[in-house]
Amino acid sequence: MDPHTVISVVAPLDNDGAILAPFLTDLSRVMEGHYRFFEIILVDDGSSDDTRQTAERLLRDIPRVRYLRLSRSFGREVALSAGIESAIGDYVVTLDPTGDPVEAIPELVTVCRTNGGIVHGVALNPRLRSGVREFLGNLFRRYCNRRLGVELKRGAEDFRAMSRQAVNALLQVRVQSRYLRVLTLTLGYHHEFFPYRRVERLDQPKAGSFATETATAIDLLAANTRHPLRVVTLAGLAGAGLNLIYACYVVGIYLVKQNVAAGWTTLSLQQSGMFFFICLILAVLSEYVGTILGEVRSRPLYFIGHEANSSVLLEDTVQSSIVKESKEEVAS
Amino acid sequence: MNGREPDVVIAGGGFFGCSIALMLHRRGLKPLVVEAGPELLGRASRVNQARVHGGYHYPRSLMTAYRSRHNYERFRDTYREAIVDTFTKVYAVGRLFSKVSAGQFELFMKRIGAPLKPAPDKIARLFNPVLTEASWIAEECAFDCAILRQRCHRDLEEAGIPVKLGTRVVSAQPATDGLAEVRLDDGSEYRVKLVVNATYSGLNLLTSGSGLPPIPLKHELAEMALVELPPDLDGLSVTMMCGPFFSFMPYPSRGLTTLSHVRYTPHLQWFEKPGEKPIDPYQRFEQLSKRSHFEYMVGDASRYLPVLRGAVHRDSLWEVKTLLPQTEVDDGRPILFRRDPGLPALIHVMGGKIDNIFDVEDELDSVLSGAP
Repeated sequence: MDPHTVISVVAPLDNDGAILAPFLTDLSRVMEGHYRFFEIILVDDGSSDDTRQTAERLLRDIPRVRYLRLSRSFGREVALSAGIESAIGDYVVTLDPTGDPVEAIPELVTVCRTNGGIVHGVALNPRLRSGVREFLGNLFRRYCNRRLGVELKRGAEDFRAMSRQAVNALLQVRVQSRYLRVLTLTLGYHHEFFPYRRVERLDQPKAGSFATETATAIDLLAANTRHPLRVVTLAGLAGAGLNLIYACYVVGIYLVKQNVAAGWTTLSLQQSGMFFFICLILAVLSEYVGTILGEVRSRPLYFIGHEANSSVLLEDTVQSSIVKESKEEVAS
Repeated sequence: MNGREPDVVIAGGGFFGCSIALMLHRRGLKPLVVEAGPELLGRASRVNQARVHGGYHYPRSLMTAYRSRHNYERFRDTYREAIVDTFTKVYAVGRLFSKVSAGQFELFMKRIGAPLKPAPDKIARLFNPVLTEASWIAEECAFDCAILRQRCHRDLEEAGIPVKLGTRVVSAQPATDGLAEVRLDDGSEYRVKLVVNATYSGLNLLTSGSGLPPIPLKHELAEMALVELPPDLDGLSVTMMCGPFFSFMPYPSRGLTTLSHVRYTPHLQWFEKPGEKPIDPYQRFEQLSKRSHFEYMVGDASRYLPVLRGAVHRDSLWEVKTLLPQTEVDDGRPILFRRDPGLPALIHVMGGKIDNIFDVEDELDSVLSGAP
């Protein structure tokens, strides 16, 4: 391992006070064992439990930890972005403290060092959901793979390692909807997948509710693909065509038949059909208008409410710019 | 030789060689400096850019940036008389193709403690806003290598350290008691405790002469254009980060400005690897044709900074620039400090940056204290 590489580990916290101490102790031990230079960035997404107190207590004993607290809860993706933005490492690792194994970090980083770009961890034992949700999730991933041109994998969540170049590219993307799972794949840098096993730290693993996951899926699609809008365009055209044919039919009947009875049933059916289309169009348009509105507002992604550091930070440990070897081969 | 036989031979009378000689002298050893050229500090120390690095250059290698910042103040104080800081140092980040964003650059410099101020309007206006994301005033200086050479001469003389000019260290061989037998091309031989190979591009001349495997190195034929700046840029030095990258910086010993460009300063490159027949990089350097790339440099740079188009080319500095192959990716410039595995009394030192010299002291101490 090149002694001059800095590894940053970013962990978002969301009411994780209960697991913080064992998590941070394990993480620090693994990092100490493998790297000369590293930093751990805890991003507290406005937790309402004792996360802050626990973190500040731990900072006194565990070196090279930075604790950032967002001013309120901005969501996991924004918390991760805030951490990545403040990371200074040559390689940046993100992980979920509730289940991603800290022991796997060195191997993940090694894979990233070999080929550069981004390495996505793929859990072999992802969190299980009910049958219907699994089914819907599969449909969603298949749709994304087809329409977004990116390979969303079951089990690929926040465990990933990124090279500095990929991180800098990521930071230039200032869109408000930050689904790193998709964003990192669309950057175009070399990416590969890294299988690992989740090790739950909580008795009852946290899983998002059906409602929030659905909202996430819709946001993700609205921000990343125009395909649904295209479908609506087609539906609109089809509806317009049907209307035209129907109009011709009405005119034809009017010309051919002597006395036309009031066709109440037909008229009602036609109207309700058309209104169905119009409502659908409005629904999808509102999603897109919402996305556009979010982008146009261009508010800062987040605000930092509080910041604290370990008593020993990276700088104190950087004593020299000496290397002891010249190596022939270089990873690109 | 003041009647004293040396117990350390230092191959290479550049800034690193001279400084290491002084460090060893202070630790009670009797060094001899052997320089192949006609004067001290005549090659890389003279020809590579006269920048004292404040860390701004390396937003992709934290180590180099941090150590540069740390050593910057110390270098400036130690070599005060050779320091030139009567110019405004501007750093800018390009909008396209840049490997660093303005935000990341600012954050990084804050973390290493390198001051940055937003550039005032009259400077910011010089840049093409389509291609430039942001510009700042930084704190950085240059050194006058002619004055630095006089200083090294004087320090060596005061310390009574002998210098052999026009002489090359040909080989180092193991001798009894862990000593090394050193042979010079003037025929003299010494039995010494340590041999320091501080010959920069020529590191492998000594390894091959001694029958040791070469150290992997990358060499570049590098050109720095020496220019006269247009009046609008008087007293300014600009560095554009990082990817599309150019820089101009005062070159005090000639009263001109060096202009370098990441794409056009290296003309060609070659590698030295174990298992390959060594080539004398100096000989190769002499044989290479040297047609200036100034027009390309100024052509690209003036897209970012239109007034630079008025720069006049006066001359070019040519040199073999030597790098560690592993620093290709992150742009870092660490110091190689390597005890030869085949001959522990031989230490190869290759400095990436002149101002990081102080980092060598601890390594020397650990060698002298007998640490492995």
